[in-house]
Amino acid sequence: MQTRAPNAAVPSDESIVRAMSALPGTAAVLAVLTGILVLFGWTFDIEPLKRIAVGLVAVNPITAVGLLLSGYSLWSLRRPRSYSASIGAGRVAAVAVLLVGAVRFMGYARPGWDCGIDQILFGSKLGVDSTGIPNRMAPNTAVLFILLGASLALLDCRVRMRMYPAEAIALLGTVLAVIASLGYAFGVQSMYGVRAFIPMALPTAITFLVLFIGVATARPSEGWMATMTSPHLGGFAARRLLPGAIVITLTLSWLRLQAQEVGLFDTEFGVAMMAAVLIALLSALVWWSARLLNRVDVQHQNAQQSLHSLHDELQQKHALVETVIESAGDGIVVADREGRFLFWNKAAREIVGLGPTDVSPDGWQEHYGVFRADGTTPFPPEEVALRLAIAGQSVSEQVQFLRNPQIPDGKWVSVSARPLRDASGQSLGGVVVFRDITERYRAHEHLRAFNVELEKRVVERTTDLTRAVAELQQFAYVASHDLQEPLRMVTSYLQLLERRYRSQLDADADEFIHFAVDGANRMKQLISDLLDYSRVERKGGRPVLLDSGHVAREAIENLKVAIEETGADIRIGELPEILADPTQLRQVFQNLLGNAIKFHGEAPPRIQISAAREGESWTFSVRDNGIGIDPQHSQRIFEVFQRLHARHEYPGTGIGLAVCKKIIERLGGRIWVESEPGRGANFKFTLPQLEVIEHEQHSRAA
Amino acid sequence: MSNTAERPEPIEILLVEDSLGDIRLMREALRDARVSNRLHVVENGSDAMDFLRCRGRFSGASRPDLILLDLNLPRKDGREVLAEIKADEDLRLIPVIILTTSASEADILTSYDLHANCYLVKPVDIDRFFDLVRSLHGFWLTVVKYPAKDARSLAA
Repeated sequence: MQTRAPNAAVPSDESIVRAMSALPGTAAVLAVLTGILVLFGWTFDIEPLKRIAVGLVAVNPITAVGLLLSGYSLWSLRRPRSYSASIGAGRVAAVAVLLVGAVRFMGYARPGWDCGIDQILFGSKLGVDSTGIPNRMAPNTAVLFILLGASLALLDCRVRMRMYPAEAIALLGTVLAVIASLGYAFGVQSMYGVRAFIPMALPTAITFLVLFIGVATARPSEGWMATMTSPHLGGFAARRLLPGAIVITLTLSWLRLQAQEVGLFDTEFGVAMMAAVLIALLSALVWWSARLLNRVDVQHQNAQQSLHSLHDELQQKHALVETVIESAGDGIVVADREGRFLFWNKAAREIVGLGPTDVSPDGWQEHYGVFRADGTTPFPPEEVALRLAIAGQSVSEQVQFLRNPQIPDGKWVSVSARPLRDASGQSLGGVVVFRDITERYRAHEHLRAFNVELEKRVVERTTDLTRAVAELQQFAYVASHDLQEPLRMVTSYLQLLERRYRSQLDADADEFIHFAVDGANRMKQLISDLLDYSRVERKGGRPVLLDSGHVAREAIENLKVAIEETGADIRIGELPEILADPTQLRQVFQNLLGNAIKFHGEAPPRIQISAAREGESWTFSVRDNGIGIDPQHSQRIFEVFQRLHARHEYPGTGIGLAVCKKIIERLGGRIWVESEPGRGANFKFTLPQLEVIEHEQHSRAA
Repeated sequence: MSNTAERPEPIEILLVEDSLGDIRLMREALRDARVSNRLHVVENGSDAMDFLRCRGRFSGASRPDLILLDLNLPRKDGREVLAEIKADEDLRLIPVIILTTSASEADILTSYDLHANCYLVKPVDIDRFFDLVRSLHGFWLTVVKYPAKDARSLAA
């Protein structure tokens, strides 16, 4: 890609203008100097200052004053400025110059009308000039003063778009001044003198030329001069061709004249010769310029071509970006700093149901129907996402609800917005991106409502269940307690009966009383065990750190009578420290040991209590050498009131193991039996290890 | 040590009990223990307070040496009776023995909180019950020293 400026070979407008701006000042200074020198010459009668060479016409003193004034005027007006005192003075001087010329010119039209204006200064010295003609201001000088004064006075006056009268007048003056100067250069008197009148002095002609060039270049970027100073090809060609053509023509003409005067060749030959050389030189100039122009044009074309391809490339990219944005599933809307919409993509129109509007940002909320996620609360107009973005804030995935006549059912959208800034951080506006999330939102809401409902139901059920359990426990407790009352009556009075009338009744009566008392006792035991069972949950205290070996020994102590009766041998292995409720753990050991003693075989009971670390828990074992249990019953024995034997074989209520199971499970362990009939039973239960419990508590606390 | 023979008056016992079976058992137990006593029985809490304060039909009631109080009573229950007795500057000197079927921790704690002198659970077995009454007599009516019935007025 070519980025070099296509017109780099052409001098820029500014540099030419800057170079030209030195001309008017220089011209002004030269004119003022000339005027002063001439007046100096008149004052002190220094001839070369007045006329340069003997035999030439002297400069009229008033002409010198006019030149001085013109120089001052040009100096004041040399740069375009808004009104100031010096510009005003410059214009006054210009008008004075114009009047001097005009008055003197009137004198030529009707003698005497000029009031002898050109004889006011040094009138006595003017007398008869060395040329033999009275020194007056020449008529062509008067005309040039008129033109010069007019062009200076009108310097900043514009008639039409690009028409400056000062320029036209200055050009006309330049031509006349050139004619006069050439007259001197080529020795043609008729070119600087008009008929019988006194001719224009040489310094006057040259100073006029200089002044007119100064005026013409005083406004280099305005009017016709703008064409010359243009940075484009036309200005380029003009700046090359014009000076070349002028210099070549002048030089050739002068050379030809000199040669002709010396007598090198005659007029016919001179004209032909000059035409030939002129053709050659001008052709060379044109060719040279054309070559440069061609080169510039080639560069220009190259630049334009690369510009074209750049443009095409940009257009393709733009089309691609637009296609991508248009086909995006998310709505994209861009607005400028004042809230005027710059862009809406297709998805944006589809989601919102509307397009860009002229409504001011204050009215967007109402126009597009923007609501909070609840679908009913209108969004605060000043907090609409795009407005926040324009104000420099960002919005990220905010859920909003849109409802307007085009989308009467409404839509939930997820809205994000960002401010748009240029490279320097200046705000350009904002962009908002939104996505239709209605389905997702509805599903989410359903799920949420469902969860709430579910949670409510769980709470309700749990409450019901807790109440039911509490009621049941209360019932079991009250029932077992109140049941004891009448039972006590039955037992007490049966026993009283037995005690007092034993000898007066027969054996049958004694047996009846015995069964009645036995039944009442069993019922008492049953109620007591039931009470224990119902108390496991209710009465269980906080687990504390305890030595399970010590607890086992306490249980053995409680069973002392049964142990002595059966001659049981109980051994306790190494037992760990654990967390448990001591009363309940003792109950477990007591029940298991009690069973082991009760269900002994022929031999006296031999019982081994031990514990082993297995994984994250301790496994306790109470192994006996008793009658054992058929594995098919290994589950049933842990249920309440489940018995495997007749009451007269092995007494019991069938609650002991159920109590054990309840206690162990409450402590986070499990209980089971490994046994075969006749081979003893091994009751095992697990309890969590201390470290594991501590670890869990730590992580819960954390 | 004093014994029953040395006591000229039989011991006055107030039994607050609504179960006729228990009242009869108590009489039997006292007879079995051969205690010289006069057993007054009221069947509810408000009668008990009337008796102790000699009100209404109990205007001629004598002051008991010992109160046997059941907790679960009709009209005014044992806990209220206990609280009232122990709030009374004079009556609180009489030992109150709670005799009930309840072995509930809550009942035991409440009773001692209300300054019961002793809490006993009625045994199911008759022999144990008789033993209990015997030991009651042996301890509370023989071993324990009480202030004189009019001790407070004498001290004043």
